[in-house]
Amino acid sequence: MAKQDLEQLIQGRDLNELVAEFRAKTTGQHSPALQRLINRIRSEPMTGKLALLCTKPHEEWRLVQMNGRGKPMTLLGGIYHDLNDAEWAIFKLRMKRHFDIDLQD
Amino acid sequence: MLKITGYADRVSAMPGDAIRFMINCEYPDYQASVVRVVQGDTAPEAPPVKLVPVPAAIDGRYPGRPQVIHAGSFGRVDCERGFAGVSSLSLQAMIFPTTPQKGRQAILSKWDEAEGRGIAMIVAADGSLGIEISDGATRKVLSVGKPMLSRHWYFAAVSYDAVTGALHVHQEPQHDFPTIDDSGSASDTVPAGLSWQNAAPLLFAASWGGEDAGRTIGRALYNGKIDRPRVSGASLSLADMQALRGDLWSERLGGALIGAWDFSRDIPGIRMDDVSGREHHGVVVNMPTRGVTGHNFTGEDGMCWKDRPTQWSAIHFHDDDIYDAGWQVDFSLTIPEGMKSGIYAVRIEAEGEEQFVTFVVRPPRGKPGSKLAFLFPLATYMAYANEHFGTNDGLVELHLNRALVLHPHQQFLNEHREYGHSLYDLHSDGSGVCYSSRLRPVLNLRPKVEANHGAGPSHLWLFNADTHITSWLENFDQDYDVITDEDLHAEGHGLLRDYQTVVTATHPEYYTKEMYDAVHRYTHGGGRLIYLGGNGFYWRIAYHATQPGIIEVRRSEGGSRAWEPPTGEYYHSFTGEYGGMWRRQGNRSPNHLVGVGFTAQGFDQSSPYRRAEGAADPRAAFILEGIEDEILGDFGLTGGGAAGMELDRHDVSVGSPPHSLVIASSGPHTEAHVFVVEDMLFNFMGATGDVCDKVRADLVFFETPQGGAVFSVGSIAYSGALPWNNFDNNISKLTLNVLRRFMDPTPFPMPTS
Ligand SMILES: [Fe+2]
Repeated sequence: MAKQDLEQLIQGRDLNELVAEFRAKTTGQHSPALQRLINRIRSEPMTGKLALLCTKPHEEWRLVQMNGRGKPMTLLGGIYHDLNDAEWAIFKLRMKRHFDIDLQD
Repeated sequence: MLKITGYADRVSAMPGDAIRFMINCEYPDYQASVVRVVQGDTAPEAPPVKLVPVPAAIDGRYPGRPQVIHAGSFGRVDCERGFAGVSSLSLQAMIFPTTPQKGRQAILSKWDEAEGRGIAMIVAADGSLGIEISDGATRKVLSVGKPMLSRHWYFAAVSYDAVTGALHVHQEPQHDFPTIDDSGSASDTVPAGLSWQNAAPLLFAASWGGEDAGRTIGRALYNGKIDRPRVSGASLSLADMQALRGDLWSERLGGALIGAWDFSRDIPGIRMDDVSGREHHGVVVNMPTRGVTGHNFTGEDGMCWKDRPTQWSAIHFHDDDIYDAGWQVDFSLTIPEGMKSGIYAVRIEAEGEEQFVTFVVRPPRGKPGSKLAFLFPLATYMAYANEHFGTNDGLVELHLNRALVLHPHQQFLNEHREYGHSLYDLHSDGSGVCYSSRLRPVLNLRPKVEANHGAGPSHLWLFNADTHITSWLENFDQDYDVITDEDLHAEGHGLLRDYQTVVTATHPEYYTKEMYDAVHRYTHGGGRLIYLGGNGFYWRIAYHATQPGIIEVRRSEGGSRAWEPPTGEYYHSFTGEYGGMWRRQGNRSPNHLVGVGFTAQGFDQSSPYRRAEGAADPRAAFILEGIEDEILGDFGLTGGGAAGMELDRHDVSVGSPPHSLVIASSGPHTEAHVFVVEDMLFNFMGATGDVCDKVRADLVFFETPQGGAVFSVGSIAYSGALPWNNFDNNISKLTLNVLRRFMDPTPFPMPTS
């Protein structure tokens, strides 16, 4: 996705602020610009979608890539022990995937 | 990946009844035991999991064995005598293929896969109509070579002349389109007298893969509709086969028929009637969809199959239909006399893996063990059975407004499509799933399971979320019976009559007419109903008259729905009743029954309620007794609030009784909670929970005739607030106030104007 699309989504808001907002609170009501941005990057089809596989209930989640209906998912490297960390990891990967933006922790 | 799955032949049993358990276990052996399910939430924020061991006759070690499911629907006709002496053959039907590019699919076959021998009309590998014939050594496929369009009707006809060895294939579209070349014939020759004869039954939509433990295995499964199939024991000319397309034919053509099947007969049943006079009747296997429009449907002679059955003379077969998994029985539990009514599960354990098969012990008929009943919403559990929300459609993440978290059972179900689908899924051909059976492992009907839709920290949906209610009841030492809505469907009001109070689950969404009427009669006869959920009493469903354990939904006309039935397929095949939302079925909206009806959904975070005008009404004083708080339920295990996930609104214009009181209303909600489409004629902006007033849950109380009453919370997340702070909170107290007053037989006086 091109740079100008990102600008259309965040409409003049400072990207760093939006990223900080997401990092601080991954779930629930977001500011309008952040919600537009994550709605866009979460619209991935099932084929190629980044998701999480719960490997220990309420304790451990692994990053996966979905490969479409009926197809086995691919385990990627990440292992998380907090859902917010996992959300953050997916967010970073999608910012890279969709806008070629590298985010640091 | 799961190595243990299982199911029972019945979910509800009373003392004296036997429940048979069927277990698939890839480990050498397993331990079986019985537990009573009180609290199944494994979240650290929840009270401890409470599964109470109950010594039972089935306790012990059992050898494990793999058991598999043969999914895919087809029709089966056993008519060996009809084929006696037959060597030339003609096969024909009107067909509506839905996956013509899938590969070889048998439309009409007498074909033994093991021997590689037989004759069949097929969708060939190239997507066009074909004939396949083989004597086990010489095998020939002849196809038209012009791929058929998906979801269009074709006249399909093939023949083999045993005298000359001539093969003919004819594919004729019902409609011609420019640029589409899909009409044609092909001919070829194979040896005369090719001995294709075999012991396979005649199958529609499959070829015969043999038998496995009493089950017929369908191979080369066809997706799509078949209408008016005919089999003739002669090599007919194309003109003769054209003449057999209709419902009347000459005596000469009738003389050659082995069978001509009319699928408009016995739409509610499983028979396939032969109308040729040969009496070669068959049955459908694995419940293909009936009551679907045929090639001659006009839309002008009525919209229900009962109006003009000849226009519904088709069956839609799917390669992932499943009715009865048909597994071998591993053990059987006879419910002992005096066993306490409740929710139970058989726990299967092997090598650190654990699986549950959930069941209900109900009280003996006419002998309640308590004045309080928990109404176990088995129909809704079946509607959601083995849902694929997290693995089929990428849009799920926008529903959730949080990352998609999958659980091991969902990973398993994604790859094991033979375990069948929920009423929220699409078949492999993209058509909506309108039947769901419990005669297969239902991997989300068990304690300890998590789901996509329930928000954190617990992430529960349906059954396991409902254990927040049972654990709450037990925390306050409330004795209760458990009864299922499947029994309510069968027995009606009599099942409820003797209870002072009935408590629902978090999401009693799917109701038959019999279920709805029984609850209505109960609340109008002095009964007290506590509706502890959201989006309840929403879809009309039907049970099958002769096949146990299967329900049907037709998501007709409107509503918040996972799929839309095609025009002409709005009526249940099981009953002929019009499908869809209860609010479109006369004065039977959920608002009529419980004072509130579905208004919004969102799955990220929940919100609290705030006292509303009705809270000050003396009629409601008992509800808030001892509670000073203005804000109610700003906490909870499902999204951190008592109001969320699916919300119901009080609205007199949709049927809420005018005298009903709104005690509290929730909000604001997150933007992910969106106003429902059925209340939105034109869509508009400002329909999300952060700005729209109608995105709210209303907590409602009203009196009903003969001293009865209804209390509704209108929120799926509500139950998640009950256990908060070790059950010590304002939602728990409020609910207990209601329950205690409802259990008091003192009649509620009707308010006067
Ligand atoms: Fe639902």
